[in-house]
Amino acid sequence: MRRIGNRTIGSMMTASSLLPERSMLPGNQHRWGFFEKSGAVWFLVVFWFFISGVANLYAQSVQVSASASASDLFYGDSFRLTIEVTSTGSIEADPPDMPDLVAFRYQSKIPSRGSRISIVNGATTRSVTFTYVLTAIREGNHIIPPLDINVNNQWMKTQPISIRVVRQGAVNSQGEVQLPSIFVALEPAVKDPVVGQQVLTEVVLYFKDQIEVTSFRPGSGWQPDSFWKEDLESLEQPRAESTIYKGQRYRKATLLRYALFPSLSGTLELPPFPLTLTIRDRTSRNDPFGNFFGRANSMNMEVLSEPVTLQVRPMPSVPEDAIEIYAVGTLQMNRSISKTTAVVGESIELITTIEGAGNIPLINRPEYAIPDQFDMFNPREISNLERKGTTIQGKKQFTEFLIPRAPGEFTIPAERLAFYNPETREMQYVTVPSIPLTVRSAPSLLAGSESGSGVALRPVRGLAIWHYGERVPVFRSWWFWVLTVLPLASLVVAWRVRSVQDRFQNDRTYRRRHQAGKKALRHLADARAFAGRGEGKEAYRSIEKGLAGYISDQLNLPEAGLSAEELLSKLPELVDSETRRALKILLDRCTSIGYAPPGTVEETLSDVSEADALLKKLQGWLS
Amino acid sequence: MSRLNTGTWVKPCQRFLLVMLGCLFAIAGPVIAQQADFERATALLDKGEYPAAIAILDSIETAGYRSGALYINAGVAYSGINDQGMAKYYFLKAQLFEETEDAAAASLRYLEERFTHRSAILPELPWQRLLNFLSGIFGTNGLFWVALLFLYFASAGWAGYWFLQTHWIRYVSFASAGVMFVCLLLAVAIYGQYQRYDTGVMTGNQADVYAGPSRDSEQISTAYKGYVMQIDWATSNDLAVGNDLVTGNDLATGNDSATGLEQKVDEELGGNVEQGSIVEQRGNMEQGDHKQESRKWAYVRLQNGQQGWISVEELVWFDPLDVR
Repeated sequence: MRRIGNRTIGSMMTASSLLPERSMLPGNQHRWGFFEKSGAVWFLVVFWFFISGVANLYAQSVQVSASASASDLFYGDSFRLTIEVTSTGSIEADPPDMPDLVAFRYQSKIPSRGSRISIVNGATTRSVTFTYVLTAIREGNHIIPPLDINVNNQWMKTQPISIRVVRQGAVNSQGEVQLPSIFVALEPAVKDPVVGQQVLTEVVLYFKDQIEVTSFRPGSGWQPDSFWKEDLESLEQPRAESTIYKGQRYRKATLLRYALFPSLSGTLELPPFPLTLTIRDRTSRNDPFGNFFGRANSMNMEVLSEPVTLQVRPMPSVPEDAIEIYAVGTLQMNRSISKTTAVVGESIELITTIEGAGNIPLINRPEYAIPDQFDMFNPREISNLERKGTTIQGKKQFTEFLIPRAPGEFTIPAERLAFYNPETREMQYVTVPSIPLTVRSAPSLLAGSESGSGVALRPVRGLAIWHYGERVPVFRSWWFWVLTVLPLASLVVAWRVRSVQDRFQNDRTYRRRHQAGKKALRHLADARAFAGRGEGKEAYRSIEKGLAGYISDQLNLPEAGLSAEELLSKLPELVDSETRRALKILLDRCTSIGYAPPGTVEETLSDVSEADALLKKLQGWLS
Repeated sequence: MSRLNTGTWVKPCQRFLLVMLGCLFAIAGPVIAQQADFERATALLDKGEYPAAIAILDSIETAGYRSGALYINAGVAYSGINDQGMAKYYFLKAQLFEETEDAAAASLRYLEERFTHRSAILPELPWQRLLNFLSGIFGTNGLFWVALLFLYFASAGWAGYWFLQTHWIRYVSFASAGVMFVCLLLAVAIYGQYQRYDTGVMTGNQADVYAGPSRDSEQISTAYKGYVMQIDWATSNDLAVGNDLVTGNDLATGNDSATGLEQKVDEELGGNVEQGSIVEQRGNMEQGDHKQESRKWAYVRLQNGQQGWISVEELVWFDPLDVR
């Protein structure tokens, strides 16, 4: 640690952290600091130019080239296209953008990449290669155009490459037939089949004696358009045999067999068949160093057959009285039925069997003329194929389920089934005989089950239980609602009664008012009785109790102690003056009678009657 | 004693007897007539003359009579002409009557073996099972009656509590009111369900079930002859074309008139009825194009649980509430 000014600077302090310290130095030291800073900048500038120059020098030494492993090819041959980038410096290169080529097919657009460094006389050379494998798929002279490749952030172009593709067996200018040392061919057994006819197609490999084929693998996804393809069982071990092909000796091996069924008429093409081979070249065995350095080791190659054209003929027309089922082959046909006697509704199986060698999988279901009284349900197809040997053989069964809807005697008519025989090259016809059918009527159906359920359909006999009229929900009738409202109404009445009872018990005023009329009538009745017995004083006392009591009960006044004037003064204004006057006279008489002799019985009864009349009037006003 | 003249007694008695007999015949006359027709149809069934038997049974139902025996025999008749779809339709109706429930079930089991396709049958939804169970025991009307009875109990109990002030009476009243409300709710639910849903039977050989009321919709399933399904008229009328003109009841009623033993014998063939020459009159499509279009599709739930739209042209259906 050292000290500058009053700061402590650690050994790990950066240059930028030193600058504030320099600004604290004296003036001359300031200028020197300026020159020091300018010198550092100049150094950086010079160093950058140096580096750039060196880089440019290196850039100038980059080279790009393209090359093909062969310039003359047969159709289907494969070759390697190599793009090489060479440089004395470092190389940063991406694979080139490969154009789509009409005459060649990439086996893969992802190249194999290689790099190499060589040092010659102290000079280092680096190279990077991108290798593509292409297959020739069109004859003629073709040019692979210049390819753009980005090397060290600079776009560079390769030179164009010329390649000539010839067909196998083409004759060159010297009159020689040109054939490759190894090639594959598609060999259909028939070149002019009819639609649906089986075409046995073999994949045959031709190769020269000096080539040893150790293994092969067919390319995936070979599917000719407009053909139904069936793989025939593979040959156990392909055997090579010697043959002369276009004047040259070859060895020939049949590798694969397919059964192809054209589905359209016209000119159809079998596309090139790809095959990957592992071969060894026997000539290299004569080289004593060959095996040592591995040059005679196995190598893989892909070959492509040439396309093959077939002229597919349409199937001859079928007369109207025959059923066309698009069958081609040597076939046998017959028709059978599961039962000739059935009950209505019972299922009957009508079985058509077609067997032999031919386009078994493609045969259509024969459409028979079935009587209208039958329902047909879901025909079933069962195919049983054998793919051994050179033909597709097997059996196809069409089962139709017929269900009679009515009893009677029926006939499924005889039919002619048409098929094309490729051996005789003409249409042939098989007549399936008519089938009589007896359908039993329903009584047998009613007698019992034939399907094992043990239950019979039997009609009900005897007196039935009848229901009449439309079913109407009960809530749509008026009396239902009356019956519904009734308990609710009763409940309301009960509530009213109960509430009256409660008030009667708890409200004295109410009770007095409620009972006033009855009490008054009772007193007046007593008064009449007293009057009848000649007990005038008692009668007037009862009249007073009746009238005065009624007024005090109705107006909630004290039951005793009020004079007639006081009672009358409490009466409402509705009560007319005549009634008031009559009441006063009667009540005064009742009061004064205790001190005077009572009147006659008639007079007393008359007063009772008047009291009755007055009470009725009061009830009209007070109740 | 001279008033005990026999002539004076006999005349009123004779008049009374005549009036009573008249009333009896007025009530029982039609019943006896249709029972006679029913027995005539049964005799025709025994002879294997199914179309003629169907015509008679049809006339009985058209007259407004319903009976389990009627539907059993109709099912047997249709089975005789190999119209298994219609046969199943009538056996299902017969199964709703207590007296023919077992016979109809046995006939349905027998019939099922004759269909080319059988649907997977999912168990009913729990709420449906409950409603069907209650409906089978009480029926909708029965539940309404039970509700009414408990309304009386509840009212009496509450009134009794007011006057007697006994608490257990009040509790009985509460319980009765609860039972009443439950019964009322169940009755309304069952009624609503039967109003909304009908039981349909597939009578055509096969029909596709679509996701919407159009053949352009995605196909969900296929219904074959004899398939039973639940038709949801509420959804059908909400979504199908032109449903503002047609209600579920209209449809059901229209269908009943058209499919209640609706197949008529094609007498145009010289009146000489040939077995299997039944012309089906289904769907009641004659009421204008717009209405016809609206009736073409129904929203159904198949027994395998799948739901979708199906053309009603291949269907017959009934409302179990109307049958019972």
